[in-house]
Amino acid sequence: MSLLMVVLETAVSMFIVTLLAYGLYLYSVKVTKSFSRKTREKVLIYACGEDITEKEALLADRHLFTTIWNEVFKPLYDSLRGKVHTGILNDWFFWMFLALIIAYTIIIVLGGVSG
Amino acid sequence: MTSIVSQALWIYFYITLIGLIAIAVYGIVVRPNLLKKIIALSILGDTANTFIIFLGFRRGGAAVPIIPTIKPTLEELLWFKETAVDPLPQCLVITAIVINMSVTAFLIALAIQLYRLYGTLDVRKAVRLRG
Amino acid sequence: MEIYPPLPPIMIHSLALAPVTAIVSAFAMPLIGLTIKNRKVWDAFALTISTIVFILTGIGYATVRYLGKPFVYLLGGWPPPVGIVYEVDEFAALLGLVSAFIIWLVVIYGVKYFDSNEDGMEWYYTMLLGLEAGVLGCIYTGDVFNVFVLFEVLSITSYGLVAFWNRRGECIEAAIKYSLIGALATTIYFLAVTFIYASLGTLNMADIAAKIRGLFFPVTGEPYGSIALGVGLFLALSIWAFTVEAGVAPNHFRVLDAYQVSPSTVAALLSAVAANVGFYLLARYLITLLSGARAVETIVNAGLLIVLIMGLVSIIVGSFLMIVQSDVNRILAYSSVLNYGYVCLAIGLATPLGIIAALFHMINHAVAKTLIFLTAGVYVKASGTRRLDGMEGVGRYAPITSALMVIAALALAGVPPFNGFVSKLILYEALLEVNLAPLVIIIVLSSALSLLGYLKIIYHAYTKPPMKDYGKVEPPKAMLWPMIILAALCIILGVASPWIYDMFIEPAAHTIFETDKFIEVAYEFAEKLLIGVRI
Repeated sequence: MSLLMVVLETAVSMFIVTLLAYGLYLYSVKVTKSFSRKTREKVLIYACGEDITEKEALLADRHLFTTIWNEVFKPLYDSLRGKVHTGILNDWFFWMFLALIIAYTIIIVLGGVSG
Repeated sequence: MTSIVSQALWIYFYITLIGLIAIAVYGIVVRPNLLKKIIALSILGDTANTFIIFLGFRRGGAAVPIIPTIKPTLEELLWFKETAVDPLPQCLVITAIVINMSVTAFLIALAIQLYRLYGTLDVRKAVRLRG
Repeated sequence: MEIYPPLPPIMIHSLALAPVTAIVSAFAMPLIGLTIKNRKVWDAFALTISTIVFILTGIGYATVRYLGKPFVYLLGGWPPPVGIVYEVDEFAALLGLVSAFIIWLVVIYGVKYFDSNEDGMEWYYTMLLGLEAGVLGCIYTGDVFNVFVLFEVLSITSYGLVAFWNRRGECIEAAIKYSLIGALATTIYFLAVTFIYASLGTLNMADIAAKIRGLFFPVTGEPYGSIALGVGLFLALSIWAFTVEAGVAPNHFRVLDAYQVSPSTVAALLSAVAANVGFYLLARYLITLLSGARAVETIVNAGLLIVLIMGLVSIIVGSFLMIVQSDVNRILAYSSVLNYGYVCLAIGLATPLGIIAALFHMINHAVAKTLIFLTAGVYVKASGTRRLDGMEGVGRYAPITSALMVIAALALAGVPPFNGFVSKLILYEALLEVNLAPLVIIIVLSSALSLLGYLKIIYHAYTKPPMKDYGKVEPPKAMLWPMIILAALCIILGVASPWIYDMFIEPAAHTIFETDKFIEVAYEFAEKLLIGVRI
């Protein structure tokens, strides 16, 4: 069965890729272990000398990723969240009725309905 | 003469229906008050009901869709076929009216509860969920 | 009984009994709540009824499979164009079975999910059984006006379920938005019914399909006027109404708030079961009723194009906004919108492979999304908040639930060997078949984005070190077993997909194109009426 073969092939290849990526990650952890040990002095650089815990000083890696993403797509997010998904019923109804009007226009124009 | 009058009446009717739909859509989309929105929604529902009643109407010589005798003769059946209005739209409207009534009651109950909890019925102010 | 095929009575009546049992018990539930003030009795009643309905839908599916053609059930003994009938083909029967199965599991989960001192559980069960009746009725019925009535049953019960926690402000806010838009959608659908009745003079689905194709159908006479105008208005308005029910962009706003604040069981039901009704009706109307008729060919193609565009918009909006949310249920709500986009895209293709992809993805999404909403419900219940920042490390106290959540997330993101991958693969093939390769790239990218969204939940709830001791988070067995069953299904539907594809999905999806059979089965009944009139 071809579908089963495709599923299995993809599963195996993705599994191998995941294993490779994980091995690479483990290797990088092992190599950089001596550098990445957190000392008191290293932590203090992030804060202005005040006494904070290591946990507070560290930036989560998710912030690094999503910040880049959010900055790249800032105009899109501004318009999507600020103008469309406002939570106000009137704005929602505006977009929904716009969709209805566009749908009807498409049907009239492409469908060739007279009237 | 009568045909012109009835023609004018029909046009007037259609214009009224379209106007009512426009009013209802305006109320739903633009008015910020939830109660106004609910009122506009019932106007829309009633317009739809009126419209379907219209479709069942027969121009010229319409009669109530009831056969008065228990065992009708052929003449009575033919008369019924020629004159009776379409009874099906009225059945649909009965169903739709009941449904609209219950939905409106439910919406009003929700609006009362929203007013109790938020202290406003303005949809521009009652916004905690967004994004 | 000789009007039906020679079958045991339970097989003949099961399809009609399923929604009737649900709605009768829904009305009996408040009475039971008045007389017996015992939560356990209510739980047992709802559990029994949902089990019975699940078995009935299973028998109904077996009946339709056995007959090999759509099954027509006459309600009140009136033949098709005159009376309301149930006309169930394999597509509908399979979807009904899946819906009843999901509802059954959700009822089991809900028994322990709601606290023992939760107020108004009898009303929860009333609404839930009513929702089941609405869903099954909408799927089984063969009459466009009956669709309106059961659509209202489905809608008003879902409004009640969203407003279940009626002392929380945000629940009421979500409920009033949900219900106002839903009431508008049903009214618009009523207008659509008006137009189809005005131009064709009938409300029966088989009759509509026959009239549009210019075929003879007894009793209702010829269509009057230009059917193009009536069908065009009908199509525009009903597509809009069904996409509101299904939650496809730009009609998706209400489902986001509703899924976010309502109890996890309700969110699971709405996203997995109620939305499928919208897709089912879209496919039924656009393809079975209207496709292939020369008189309205261009109109139907325009309608399919609209559905396809809405699906694309939905995919883009869902995948982009999903990854920036900070509320676990809202992430899942956007993921629902994304998956609705896939289904809509598949329906818009209107090719056999497209419908197979749509049906398979509807089922896969229903299973996986129910599972992930239920697991998220465990986290939310334990940590007391829906915000990701407030549930750090809660997953470590519930290892089984976390493992199930990972399975659901991988299935939804389309990682092989789970089920979501298979349906997406079929969708790629369907898109390549009609030379829409650019859309494949959009789907792959949106899947990758959505995986980030699911990983965000797992990262916060499992990977991060716990902020506090959550105590015993692992749910009791009554909540765990439904989730384990769903997770097992996620794996089985993925690994055994070739077999399931051949056995269930392909024959079921094929029936949506068999308009001739659909008309013929109803015509056989209508013919009897014609003979009666002549005599």
